[in-house]
Amino acid sequence: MKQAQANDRVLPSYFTDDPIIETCIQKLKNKSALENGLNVSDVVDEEGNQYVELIQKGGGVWGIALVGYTYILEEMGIRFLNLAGTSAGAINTALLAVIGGENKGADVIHHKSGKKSQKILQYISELNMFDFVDGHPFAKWLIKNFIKNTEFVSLVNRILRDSFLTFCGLMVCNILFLGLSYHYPWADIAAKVTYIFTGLLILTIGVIVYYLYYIFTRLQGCGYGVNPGGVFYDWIHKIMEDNGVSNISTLNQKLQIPIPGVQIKNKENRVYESTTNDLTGKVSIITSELVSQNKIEFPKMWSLFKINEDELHPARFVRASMSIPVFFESHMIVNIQKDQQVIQDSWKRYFGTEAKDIPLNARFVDGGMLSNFPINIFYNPAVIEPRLPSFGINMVDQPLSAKKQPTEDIYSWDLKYYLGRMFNTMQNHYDKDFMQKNKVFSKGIGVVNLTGHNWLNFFVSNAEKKQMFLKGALAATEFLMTFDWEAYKKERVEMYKKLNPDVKQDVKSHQVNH
Amino acid sequence: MARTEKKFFTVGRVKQSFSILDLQFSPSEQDFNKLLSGIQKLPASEAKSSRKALKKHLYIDFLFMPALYLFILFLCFITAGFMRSSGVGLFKFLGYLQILPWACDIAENWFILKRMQVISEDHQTFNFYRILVFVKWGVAAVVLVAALSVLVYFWMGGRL
Repeated sequence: MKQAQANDRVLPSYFTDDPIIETCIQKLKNKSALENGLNVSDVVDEEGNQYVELIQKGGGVWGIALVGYTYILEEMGIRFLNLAGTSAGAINTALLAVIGGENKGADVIHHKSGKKSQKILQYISELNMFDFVDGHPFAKWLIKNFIKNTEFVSLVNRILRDSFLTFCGLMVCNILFLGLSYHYPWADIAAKVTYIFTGLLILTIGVIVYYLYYIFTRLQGCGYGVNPGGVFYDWIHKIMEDNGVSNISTLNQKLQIPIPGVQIKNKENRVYESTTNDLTGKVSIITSELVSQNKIEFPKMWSLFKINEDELHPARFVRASMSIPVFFESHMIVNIQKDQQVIQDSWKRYFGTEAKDIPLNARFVDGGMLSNFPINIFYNPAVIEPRLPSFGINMVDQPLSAKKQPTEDIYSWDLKYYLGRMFNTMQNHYDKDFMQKNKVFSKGIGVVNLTGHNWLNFFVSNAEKKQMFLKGALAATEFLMTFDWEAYKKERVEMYKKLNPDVKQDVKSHQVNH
Repeated sequence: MARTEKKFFTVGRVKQSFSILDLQFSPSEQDFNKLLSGIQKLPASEAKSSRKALKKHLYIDFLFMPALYLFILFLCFITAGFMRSSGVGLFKFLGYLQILPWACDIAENWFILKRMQVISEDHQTFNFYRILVFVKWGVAAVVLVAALSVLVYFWMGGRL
């Protein structure tokens, strides 16, 4: 009963009416009052909202923290022009990209100037994340216990050990009673009993082993994914349809909705000229394709797989991006018409792939395999002075204690930790490499520390969801308290000059709008 | 029967093979119905082939059943022949008990054949079907193992 109550449906106000949220907003309003406004971008609309780019990291159920972060940003008048994300970040990216329309009003959210996080919270509140774990009931039970019960592995080990000891004990009894049965009638009965128990134990072990083999062959038949991900796909598909997005065309129509009354503020303080001509929205969802072994950006690269852009529903992009290997089935696109010129041209353009090497089918897994935090996605090296910053939401799991970290004691790593570190090293390399070479981008990144929260725990309670939401909100507050837009712009200009030392000082003609 | 099982195909998200165990140990009625209705979603010739293979498997199973359960019955009687006093009665009873899993097996096959014709939802009947499957497997396997275990004892004791 208590478990059911902990996971009952809640309203968005369960998250937003917390005193911590109020404190965060008040703190930022005070800063804003002191500094004559919160200055985070030069792109503003008629209501004074400031526009940024937003890149959101992947992280399973940690994605709730992303909503807390964007909630605070929106409360402080920040809106998102360009959006990108991987996995959980892709989910929030997609929701932010589809919610809203051309109209404004009391109950109507404008696609550019409206606040969307409240609506996203409503979708999340109505959802039982447990339903996303839609695999075989045995797999569901196993995952739940493995994640929630810290003693589960020890329990399994104990059962295995006890079974082995029981088997050994029965074998000893069998031999003992067999010997005694020649002399004692009671030993004859006892031997028959122990032989029968031995047989039943072997039968039980045989059934379990066969069942595990059966589950494994099922896993094989399902592309090595425990959960089909059908419930998730239906959920995101419905939200998109409810918001008028049924294909790439309708998605692009939404993105093209102009910012109402858009202008570049502080033009006199900007070093380089800029216009508002090309300020339309972009969205990028990252996934990893295993057949051709490439990072794929959707919807941009739709033409690699289909002739007509409307053959792909945008929900498939998100489904592809969140396909955590083994946990979820891979997402497939089959029967690619590789004999079609438009498809051949796309493969040539994006990857230099010749027509004969284009795969017939594509298999997508979590974008986080290659780029879990695609902070470079909107980077244009031709831009000298940006009009709007790239904000990134990074989610980490770092113990706060100053005690010696497991990472330092390299000889004590268990197999799970070792594999985890290997995976993280590969996963983070691509994005980390960009960050190290372009340090200015780190100035736009806020970090949410989610230590103690298991990113795969889809059985998360409402209380824990709220904790993650609040951590996201606090991280956003901390970020906004220290973000300096003018310093960011200056550093971007300096970065351009370092990368382009031959370009003359007066480079107004070289300014590319961004 | 193993050869006919190789022709079992259905369509979930994509075309996939399935086994009779998937039908017997289906996690839910929905999954059970999806397996059967998925056969219809195959191309016409493949759907016909898959349906035919499944029906053939079930009809052959009707012939296979007497062989299996009579085998267990005779095994129990042989075991009873080596037993003394109450053991004789027990194993004779377990032998005659095979009529129960046999009846469950017949009912189970009949249920699958009926459901193949008309796919419907009837939770009570499906739950009863599940009970039949577990009783069939449970009783047959436990009795078989018990009889074999005792025969192994007699064999190891040099009394066989």
